[in-house]
Amino acid sequence: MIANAADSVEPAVEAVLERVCLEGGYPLARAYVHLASIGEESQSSVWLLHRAYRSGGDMRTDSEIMQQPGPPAEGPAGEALRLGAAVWRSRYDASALGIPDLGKRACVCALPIFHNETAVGVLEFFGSAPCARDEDWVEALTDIASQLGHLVGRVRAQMRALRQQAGLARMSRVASMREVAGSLAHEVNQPLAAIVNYSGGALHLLEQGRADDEKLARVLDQVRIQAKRASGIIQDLRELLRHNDGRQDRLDLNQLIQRTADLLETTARDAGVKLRLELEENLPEIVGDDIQLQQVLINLVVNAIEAMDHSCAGRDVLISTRAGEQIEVVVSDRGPGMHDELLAKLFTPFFSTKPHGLGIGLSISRSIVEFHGGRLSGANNPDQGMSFRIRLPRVTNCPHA
Amino acid sequence: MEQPSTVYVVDDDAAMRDSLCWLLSSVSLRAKAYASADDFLADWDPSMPGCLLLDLRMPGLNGLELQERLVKDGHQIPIIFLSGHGDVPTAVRAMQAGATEFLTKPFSERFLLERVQAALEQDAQIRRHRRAAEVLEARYAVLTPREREVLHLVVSGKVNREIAEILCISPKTVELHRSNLMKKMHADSVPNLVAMCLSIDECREAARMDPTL
Repeated sequence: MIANAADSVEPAVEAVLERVCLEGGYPLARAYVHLASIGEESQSSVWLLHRAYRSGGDMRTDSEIMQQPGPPAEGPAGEALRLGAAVWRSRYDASALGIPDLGKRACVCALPIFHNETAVGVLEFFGSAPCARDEDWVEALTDIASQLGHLVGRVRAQMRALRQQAGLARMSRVASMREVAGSLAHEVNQPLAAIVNYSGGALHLLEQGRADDEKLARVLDQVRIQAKRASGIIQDLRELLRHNDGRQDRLDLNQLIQRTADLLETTARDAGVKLRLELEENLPEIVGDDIQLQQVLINLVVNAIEAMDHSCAGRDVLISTRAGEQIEVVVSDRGPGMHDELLAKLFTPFFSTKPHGLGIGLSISRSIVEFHGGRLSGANNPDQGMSFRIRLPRVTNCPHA
Repeated sequence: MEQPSTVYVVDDDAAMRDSLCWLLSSVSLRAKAYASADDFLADWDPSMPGCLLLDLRMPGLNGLELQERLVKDGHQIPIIFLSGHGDVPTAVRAMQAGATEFLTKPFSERFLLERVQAALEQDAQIRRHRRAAEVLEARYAVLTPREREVLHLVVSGKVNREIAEILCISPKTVELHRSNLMKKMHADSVPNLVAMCLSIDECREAARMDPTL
């Protein structure tokens, strides 16, 4: 997705080059736009070379993407970038730039592209004959360059948001909790199934009196190996979950909820659900692990979003905070709610009402909340839907503080 | 001479392959294991009887894709899917595409063997039908054009007098053709003859689907 950022800028740059070349009678133009800091993405900049030529009475143009490692350092373009101002050369030897199309009798105009007062790129137009500086024309071109600057700013912001989302998801590991659980089930079931097969086969042979010691020994050894494989997988998962144990930071829950809501905005919108926040001002801080608590929040909010199918009225999820003796977070949906017998099993591991669910989200969530000295409970709302309530101790009451 | 059936195990997990082959051999079933769908396709001889134990999630061609390929090529080998993680929509898809069974690991080995036996029986039945129909086809092939005409009319429920009218021949001639074709088809009664024709039709239908049959 991020790699496509250049794709959204390229056509705009190309259109600008084409328009200016035709209007200004320039046979050649170059553009460089920088989209992201080096090292963030491979495709972080756009370099375009644009040609305009006469063909049978009509002006035609074509563009190509140039393979250049970085921004132009030399020539009028490099100078415009350094100075942060338009550079005009009435008479310019273009052959020095390695552009064979133009001779020594050329003129050039280079303009920096600005975004937030930083030069993010440059436009460079070459004329085929010497030409004196025209201030009105420079102003018009500066205008065009600043429009491109706005576009670059928008694309950069999109890229940043995407990167943050990807980073957060990776960091919190929650977005992928379900995938982890899915592949965990697959991984563990594999050796378990092998054990069932090995032992089942051995029993058949014993029943038929066809068992021979050597074969049975091999199979028993395989059973042992597969059992160890299964326990190794579970051990790995424990490590993964324990990874963040012990972080005891002071946290602003409201901020954490806001960040979580931002992270899930797209998910909610895709499901046609609105996330509403009612956060109590000056909520006292709590102590804990923000990544783990965010896992819980994401899990509850995603559950709430999924609880509402398209038939539900009032499709919003309310996340509220309140400070009493304890700090309380409530995630409330307007879905169909739950029968009492299901409610009783809500936090049982591997219990799920969803076709794809593995039923470990809520049980892990409860463990995390309890690790923070708090409680997690779920109940039907009096009118519609259900609510999950996290109660966490204030800092002074926190046993881990 | 009946060929022995083979259970083809396709699973990327070495322990699954080894343990399944061990389990199958413990009840004297022939098993052949492959680490990928491509390995299986490269080695498999569709003319040999058998069934397929197919892992759902594999690198390369996955279980569903292999099934799709086999169905597309018109093969009718019974397939038992083995899945590491029960997933209802995938199971539904597999069953709709004609899978015999969809088992979630770990499964009871007795149940698996039961299903394998059922799948092999299903395969044997498909092959028996085909062979029986081949014999009937051969008998049908020696009928004269006139006898075939009479046969079709007999099967569609016409009596000799009606057949004679339709074909503009005497009832006596119809009687002669009828007795000849009954002998050639080895049919002892009209219902018997009807059953044979149905069987031929079914088999022709299947043969259009599966070029190896």
